[in-house]
Amino acid sequence: MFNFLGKYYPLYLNGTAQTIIISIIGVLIGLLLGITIVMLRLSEHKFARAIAKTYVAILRGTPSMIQVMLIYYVLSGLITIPPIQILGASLDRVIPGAIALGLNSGAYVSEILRAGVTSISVGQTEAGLSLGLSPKTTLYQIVLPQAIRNVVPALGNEFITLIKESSVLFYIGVQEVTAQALGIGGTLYNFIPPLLVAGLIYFILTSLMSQVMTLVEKRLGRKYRQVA
Amino acid sequence: MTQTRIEVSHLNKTFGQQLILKDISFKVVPGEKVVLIGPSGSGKSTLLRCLNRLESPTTGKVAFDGQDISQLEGPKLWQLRQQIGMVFQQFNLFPNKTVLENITFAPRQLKKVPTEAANEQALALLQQVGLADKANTYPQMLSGGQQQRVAIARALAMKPKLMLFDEPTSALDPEMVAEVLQVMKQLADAGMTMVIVTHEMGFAEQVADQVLFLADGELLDQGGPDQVFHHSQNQRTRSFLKQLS
Ligand SMILES: Nc1ncnc2c1ncn2[C@@H]1O[C@H](COP(=O)(O)OP(=O)(O)O)[C@@H](O)[C@H]1O
Ligand SMILES: [Mg+2]
Repeated sequence: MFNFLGKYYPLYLNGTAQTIIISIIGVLIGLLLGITIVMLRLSEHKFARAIAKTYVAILRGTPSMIQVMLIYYVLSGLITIPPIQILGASLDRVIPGAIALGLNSGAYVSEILRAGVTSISVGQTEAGLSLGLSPKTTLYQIVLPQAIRNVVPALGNEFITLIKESSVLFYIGVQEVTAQALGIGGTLYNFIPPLLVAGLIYFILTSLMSQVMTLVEKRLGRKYRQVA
Repeated sequence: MTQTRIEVSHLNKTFGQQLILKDISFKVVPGEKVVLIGPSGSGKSTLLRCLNRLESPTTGKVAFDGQDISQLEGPKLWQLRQQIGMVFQQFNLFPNKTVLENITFAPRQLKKVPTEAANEQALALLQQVGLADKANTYPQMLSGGQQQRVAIARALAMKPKLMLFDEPTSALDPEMVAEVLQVMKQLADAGMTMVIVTHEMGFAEQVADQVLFLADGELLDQGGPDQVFHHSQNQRTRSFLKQLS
């Protein structure tokens, strides 16, 4: 059943490399954007809050496939990215694709961070303010570090979702794992074994991400974990 | 040299439609210990929080060292709060910082005290509250009484001119109340100006120069501890005290 791998495994390796590259760029953009949006969302300026709210509402309320395609067509209309190949990835598709994933993920990351901030008791803010710290210092030095620690598991879930969602980039011609599996399936006239292999690859990637997040969680928690 | 540290005049505070504090006026002179008593929900915390402007008065005036602070905003407000320490019922220590870091954080951040000097001062304060050996511990490893003593040290590290206490022993197991009251007593004896919300009437009678009785947002009774605790003419005060004992 899996004999085809002997011939086609380079395509999978190539697809996996592309999925990993896209996911890493997407996670980084999502994290930076998420932090930026939550800063706007928690700012004192009404206008900034409105921008953040609108952004999150739109990105959460529309299908990621449509977001990806729109960003691809808009971006390639605005600038010409040379079709340079890196690890078999064509940059003119990979870059808009990764940006689209990051823009989408940023909305979710900002909501996760906001929930984290809300989870920290107002007593922490009041303690900071009563010492004479500014609201900004209190938020960034007292509340956010605790909030981020609390939301590491939720962020992990979001990153795992992003890895899986990266399969929508197949619609704009990114040769990531799903695209490769479908290509191989078409050649073989049998889609089931190639898709099973693709599923296994995603499973391995998401498990690795899970491991990384567990390490991060341990590292952040080590300092003040309660001794039982 | 100002005659009054705090002067509250005709303070009203509303939350939404509800009038929570009604025409409150009183004075606190430097070195004075004022104890604020009253039933739960009477507005004690709200009044205390108007003094360091965690709450804003709706109308009326709050003056600190002669300066009206009722409308302060921004950096001027933050600077005011540096001079007023506050101790909360729930301690509110920073769980991700060690005891030492909890105490040194504000002085280092706000007064740019060098690390070494800040640590030295923090250790002296820990000595003062009897916790010199806990400097490198995280708050969660401490008992409630120990946490509250660290919280007092943290507030003192900013060298405040006024200390506010909002039911500092109400969240503590009974056996830990005394150690916190003892630290507060020391502070009182050292001449600190203090406004204290408490249900510890024995302690109140011992340290108070002035007792304020608040009920339904109104200052119903006001006087020396002997006067309020033993010779009050006010029916509400007497029944409140009776019900506590
Ligand atoms: N932020 C707030 N918003 C609305 N109502 C509040 C708020 N804080 C306090 N209150 C109300 O004000 C009243 C007095 O509260 P508080 O000052 O905490 O009383 P105390 O400390 O004497 O128990 C209560 O009825 C409480 O529900
Ligand atoms: Mg209260």
